[in-house]
Amino acid sequence: MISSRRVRTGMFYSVMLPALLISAIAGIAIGTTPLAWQTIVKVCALKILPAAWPAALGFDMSHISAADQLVVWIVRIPRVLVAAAVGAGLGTAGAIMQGLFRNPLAEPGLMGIGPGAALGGVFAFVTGWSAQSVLPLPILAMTGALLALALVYIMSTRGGVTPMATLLLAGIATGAFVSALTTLVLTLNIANWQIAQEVLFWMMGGLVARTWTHFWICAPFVLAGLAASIVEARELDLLMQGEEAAASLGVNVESSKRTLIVTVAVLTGACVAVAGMIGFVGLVVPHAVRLVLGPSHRVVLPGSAVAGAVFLIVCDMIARTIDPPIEIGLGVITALCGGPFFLVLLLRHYREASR
Amino acid sequence: MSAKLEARNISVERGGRRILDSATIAVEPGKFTALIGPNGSGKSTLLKALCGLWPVSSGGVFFNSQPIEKLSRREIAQRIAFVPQDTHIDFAFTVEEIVGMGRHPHRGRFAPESAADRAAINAALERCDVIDLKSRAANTLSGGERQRVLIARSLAARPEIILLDEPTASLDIEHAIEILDLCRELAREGHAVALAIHDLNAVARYADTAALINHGVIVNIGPIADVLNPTAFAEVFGVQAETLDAPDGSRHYTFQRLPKS
Repeated sequence: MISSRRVRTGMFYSVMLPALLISAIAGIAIGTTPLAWQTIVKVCALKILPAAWPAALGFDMSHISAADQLVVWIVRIPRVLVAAAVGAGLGTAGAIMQGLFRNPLAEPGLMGIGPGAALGGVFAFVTGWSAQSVLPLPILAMTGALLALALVYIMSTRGGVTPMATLLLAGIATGAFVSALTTLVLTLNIANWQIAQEVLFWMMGGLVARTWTHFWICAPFVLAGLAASIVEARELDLLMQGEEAAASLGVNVESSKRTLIVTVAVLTGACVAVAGMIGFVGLVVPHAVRLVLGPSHRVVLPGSAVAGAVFLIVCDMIARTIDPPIEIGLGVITALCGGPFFLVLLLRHYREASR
Repeated sequence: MSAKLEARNISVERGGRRILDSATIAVEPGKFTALIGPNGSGKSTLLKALCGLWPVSSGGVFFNSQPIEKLSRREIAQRIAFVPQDTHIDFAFTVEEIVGMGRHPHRGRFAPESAADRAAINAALERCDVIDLKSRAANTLSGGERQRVLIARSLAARPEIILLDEPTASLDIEHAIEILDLCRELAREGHAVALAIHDLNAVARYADTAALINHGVIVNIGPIADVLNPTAFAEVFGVQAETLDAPDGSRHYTFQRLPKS
């Protein structure tokens, strides 16, 4: 099974990496203005390569209009990239959470991180700062996520020790409290229908009108979070054996936990900041990846990042093309696609296990 | 291999309650030490304090005369193995992956598995008779198989000292004997072995030294024959024992409850 796992890992990437590329190109090509993939490649060549190169490489740029350039480079590519970054971030965060809590149902929203980010975001809307520039919304959402986590962490730590059960309960309590605050702020501002509508839309989660700025806000944190979690991958495997067992095998339990928890907060905060609340990715993706690749985090973490990216690109494509020009909430699509997919995997897994 | 682990007058407090009181014990190389006592007497606590998992409120634990808090978790794990009582495994790690985790304290952060790691893992798998299970998902094993896998994990680290918390508690008689034989063998090879155990007949048969613990206090420590005496049985366990000396020189006990006075 070890060797077959290695084979499975190879197969997984030989399917998922092409799938990532294809879904990205499809995500850029498909929409209210359909584009040929050649157009996409040419616009990318035009934007990325030095000015003289496209012609030197024999690209015929005569058909590329300013509108094509706008749609590809300003509208679709950033959106697909944000979807990929958010999917990767939430997938990784979910994998870490499930390992830390030794529970396949844990997801990044626990520990008060998601609700904290939501409150921060709502604050940006009602103060009107979000209308002035792109930055205040993600920055406040990120701040909210980290503040909520800090509160939960301080409350549940005694003498340098943070029991996971206490952390979970404190997280749920704080999450409920912070969500109530969010609802309160929203209720007080419901008279201003435009703001209330914006907030509600953002909280449903979605990638409408996402720009390069959003990508650059999110991507560095996702990359840093993924790198940090891979550094701690073996510790996470050991923590799954129980904290005492991990400590007896040489893991510095509290410091590893702290690193991993902060990593989850940074990943979740960055994702909620640019995409609002998108459920199900952090729950389903790592679980599915684990069913295919086994539980070892050295493969589960990068696997969840890649699978999460593909999953969210596809879901976002569905969300905006199923009934144009209306966009369905991305969270709705992730749950509608993810739920049944998850069930099928789970049932197949149990059938195999009981055979 | 001649590492010695000592606790000198250690006390452990949890939640304001003293669960171990001024315990002094030496776990010596080449010796099989049994910790005995009723449920909740402090056997597990003593084991966890000995490998530095639980902090002591007074006294000190010494590894080869060096205070254990001077060693990092990693350094401790390279030398002292602890097999916890809880053998629950949640996720579908294979037996080989679980045993491989025993190498964690010897491996660099990004170091791939070395030849030495591989050899230690295979030796541990062989030794605990779980080599045939190596590709199985650990969460599908029986209790006895899991126990052996966890002992294999502890041996994969090639420790000098091995502490086991009630390793035979959930095992059938055959597997219990297998584990006890293994522990005795490890002691003969020069490891210092200590385990918490309830089966007093097994203690009489296998252990070199016993420490009798009651209400967090080590009430007696020494050779088996001295520790397992009528007073101890009556006062600590509340039972009366009949002794039976077998022809092979081993001693057996049968117990009945003391009448409540």
